[in-house]
Amino acid sequence: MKRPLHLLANRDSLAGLAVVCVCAVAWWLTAGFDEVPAILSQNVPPTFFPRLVIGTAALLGGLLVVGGIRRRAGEAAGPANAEETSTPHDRARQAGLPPPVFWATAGLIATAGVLIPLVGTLLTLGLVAIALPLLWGERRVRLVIALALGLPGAIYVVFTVALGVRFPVGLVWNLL
Amino acid sequence: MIAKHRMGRIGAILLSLAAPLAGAQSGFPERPIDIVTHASPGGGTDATARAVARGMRTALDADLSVLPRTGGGGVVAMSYVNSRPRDGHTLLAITPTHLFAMARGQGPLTIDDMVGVARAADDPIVVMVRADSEVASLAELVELGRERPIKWGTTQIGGVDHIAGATLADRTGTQLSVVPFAGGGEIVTNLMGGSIDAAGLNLTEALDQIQRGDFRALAVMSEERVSRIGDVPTTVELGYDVVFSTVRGYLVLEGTPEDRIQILEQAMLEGMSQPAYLDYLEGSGLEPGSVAGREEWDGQVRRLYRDARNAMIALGIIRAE
Amino acid sequence: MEPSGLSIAFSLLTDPAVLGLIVAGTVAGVIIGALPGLSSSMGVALLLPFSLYLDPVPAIALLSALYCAGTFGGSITAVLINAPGAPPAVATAFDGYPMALKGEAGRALGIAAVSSVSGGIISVLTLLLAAPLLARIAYSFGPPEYFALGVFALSMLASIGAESPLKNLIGGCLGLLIATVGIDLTTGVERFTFGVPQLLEGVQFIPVLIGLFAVTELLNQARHLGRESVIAAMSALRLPSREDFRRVRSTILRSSGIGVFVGVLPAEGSTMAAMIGYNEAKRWSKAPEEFGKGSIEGVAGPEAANNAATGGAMVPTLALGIPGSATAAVILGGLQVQGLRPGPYLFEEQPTLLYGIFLAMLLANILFLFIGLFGAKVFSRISLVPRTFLWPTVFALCLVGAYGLNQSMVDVWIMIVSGLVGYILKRNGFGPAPIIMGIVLGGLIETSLAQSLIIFDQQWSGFLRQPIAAGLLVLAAVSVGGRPLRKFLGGLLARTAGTARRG
Repeated sequence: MKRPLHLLANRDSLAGLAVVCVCAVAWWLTAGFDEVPAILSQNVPPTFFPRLVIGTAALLGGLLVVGGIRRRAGEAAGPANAEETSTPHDRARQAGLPPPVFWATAGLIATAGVLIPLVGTLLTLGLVAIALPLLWGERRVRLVIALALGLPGAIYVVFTVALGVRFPVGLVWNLL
Repeated sequence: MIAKHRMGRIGAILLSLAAPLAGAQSGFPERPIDIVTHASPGGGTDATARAVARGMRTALDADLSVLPRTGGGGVVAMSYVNSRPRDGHTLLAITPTHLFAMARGQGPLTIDDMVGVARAADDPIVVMVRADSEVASLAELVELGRERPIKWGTTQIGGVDHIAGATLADRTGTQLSVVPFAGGGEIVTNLMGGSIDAAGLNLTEALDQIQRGDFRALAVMSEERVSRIGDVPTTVELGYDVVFSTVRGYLVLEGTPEDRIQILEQAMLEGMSQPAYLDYLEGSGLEPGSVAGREEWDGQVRRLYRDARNAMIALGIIRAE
Repeated sequence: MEPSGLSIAFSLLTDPAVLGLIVAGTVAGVIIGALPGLSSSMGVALLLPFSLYLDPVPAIALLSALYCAGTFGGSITAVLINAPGAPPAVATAFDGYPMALKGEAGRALGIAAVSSVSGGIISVLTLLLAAPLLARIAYSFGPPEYFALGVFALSMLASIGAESPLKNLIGGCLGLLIATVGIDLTTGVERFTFGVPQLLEGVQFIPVLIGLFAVTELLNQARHLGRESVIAAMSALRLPSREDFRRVRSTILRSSGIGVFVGVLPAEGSTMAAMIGYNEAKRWSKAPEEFGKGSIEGVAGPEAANNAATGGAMVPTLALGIPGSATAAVILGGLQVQGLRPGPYLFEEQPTLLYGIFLAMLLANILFLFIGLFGAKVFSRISLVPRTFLWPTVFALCLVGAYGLNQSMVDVWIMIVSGLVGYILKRNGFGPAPIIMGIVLGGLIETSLAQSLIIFDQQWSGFLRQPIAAGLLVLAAVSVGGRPLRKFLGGLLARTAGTARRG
């Protein structure tokens, strides 16, 4: 192991390092929990279990780092070994960066969460039913419109009428 | 034929839940009324609330639903109720647990925000051990607790059964190891299985086990004996002034119009005088005297709060100001 | 017990009105279970107010039928769109979805239906014969035993899926940590709530489940839009062959046994049973290498187990008054409102009611065999719907399902964030199933550990003096430590991971 930094540059070791970092943040958060009187905590303070789990995860993360370095070192010795131990994800990740439509879809998902309290659930669902198919390259406009009308309608009938779930109406409608 | 009729009725009920059937004449209630509980479905508080709601629905000719807002010893439920308009459409189901949380300064409400409507159930706490335990009386349990900590099962740390046990231990100079469980049913199993030494369970939670002789009831934490287990002495009789029970009742918040509180109280009392509710009480082992109107209940809530505060100060959980 | 109770119950249930209710409950259950986000516990909770207008036996029969069918329904979407309707169906997606991708949706659904029904019927028959006896098992399970059982179920993570065992265990830890969000049961202290009041109750697993599975899969589809769909149209509708059923027979029997046993214990049994059922199916299989790529045994194993556990969960609910699952808790509430007191004596005092419940469950199981088999042909058409229409619909259901559970926008955001984070995790080899397992088991493991330590006066060695607990912990250590020992890093890893598990 002459060049440890080079050996560290593999997916498993980096993931392991990320796990250890997340654990450090989580541990720091547990320090902010309220103190409780002994009569309430019964010697099992609220930080006990989270810290046990965080500690275990950090340990496993450390093993992941070590495992990645070892495999990398093994690869250098004989590449045949690496083929055997790589998981489907090792292979899948060589696909490169995601296409723009992926980012647009992720953005749409987050936007839906913002829209629901603003324009109401049913309208949001209708907008999703128009935007997502178009974004994904669907060009049969009539079918898209049918989905945009039918989907919120069906959801309203099943959830609100039959099951009594009341959805957020949307702030915009209150202004009208 | 019957099938069709019943299915039609279910359909009608489904629709009636979607649209309120408000009493046309008074204007109140104009929307469905929510009874907000802190208990998940399946517990005593939930069952009581549903039984009350069933009676009230007929009495008020309006729609009611039980809305669970679980967690945090009632804090979540109290926060939710606090966020609703004070117009009588939101009732808060409370138990002593809420009062203890309030006394610890948790949640947005104080005792002055509370206006009692009616009491639905009064479920005393019974100290019990397994029938084959060497402990035969409360005095012997106290003696055991002076030798080693008693493993005492409770439903919630800081809840009524915990404070009841801790207060008893404090008065008698015994040690307690408090083992928290998620509910009365789990305590019953663990007492049966021998994981814990003793527990302060509600009467309703362990009535069967006491009557069938699986558990030995050592004392009822009340002033008067309970008819269903009339041979069990009370703590007061035995010389310990430790009185705790799980009372379940309903509140609205200060600022709710007076006439609406009266309508709610009337409807609730009427609903709870129906045979269905009395059957529920009987089935759970509670006294019909569990039901009480606004005046008695409101006074009791304040008294319980004071007691809860004092108990917690005595135990060093909170500081007196 | 007395045959009279059985015959009275039988005549009660053959009333056309009651039969109609059971059919309605079963159909509603399959649909509710299948929709991501609508779980059977929510369905039962929503039906509870209506059931109050019925007599006790029909009311509880309706709720139990819905419960049984709901567990099966969860597997439909797990197979078709990799979005389990509820946690017990998580393990079904491991092999069910790869089968659907290969164009064998109908075969997977058929196997799921037959395994579910077999598991369900075996468990109900066991209950009919031995419910009071089985309830006794619960008494020998105190906090130390539950802790050990929870750890044992988590240790299964080391051997599921194609991912690395280490990453699965880390995912499990993440789930356990998510489960600690909210008010601590032991001390009432807020943890990881960041001042959000809705988080006081903790993170609900349904929104996380929807996010991690359905939204992650949606993003995955978006990424690979360019690729041609591999589904061969007609074979998607083909049902399993007789040979298929012969191959999964012993898996079904084994998993049913596991399911009944785990289900009887009052804990979140179905999910645990499904995971153990999957793992044992793989361990005993003649072709373990097919698991994760579309093995019919991998579908039969968890499905038989989770449906057997559904029946099993009714034992502690009825015999001890302790709900065996979230859904059973709601049914328990229904019993109490009807003025019935579940407990060890219910079996002597109310045999009619008990037999009524068991017969209703039996009937529901037989019914959804038909719904499942005929439905498999219908449902599997879903996998033929163009992606551009299927996934927007799935996402709409995700939004509605996450919101509907508690009618809270916070849950919608939890779902969205889980989906986005879950995608990144999945790309890096951290699959969604371990996280879900951690969340489902977290409460049980933490609480029972705290209880055990109080009972043992803070002595960890106390676990070793309890034979059942010690045995389960040893099994857990073996299943975590055994495989890496042979496959990966040798002795070092096995020793450290083994100690980590034991704590």
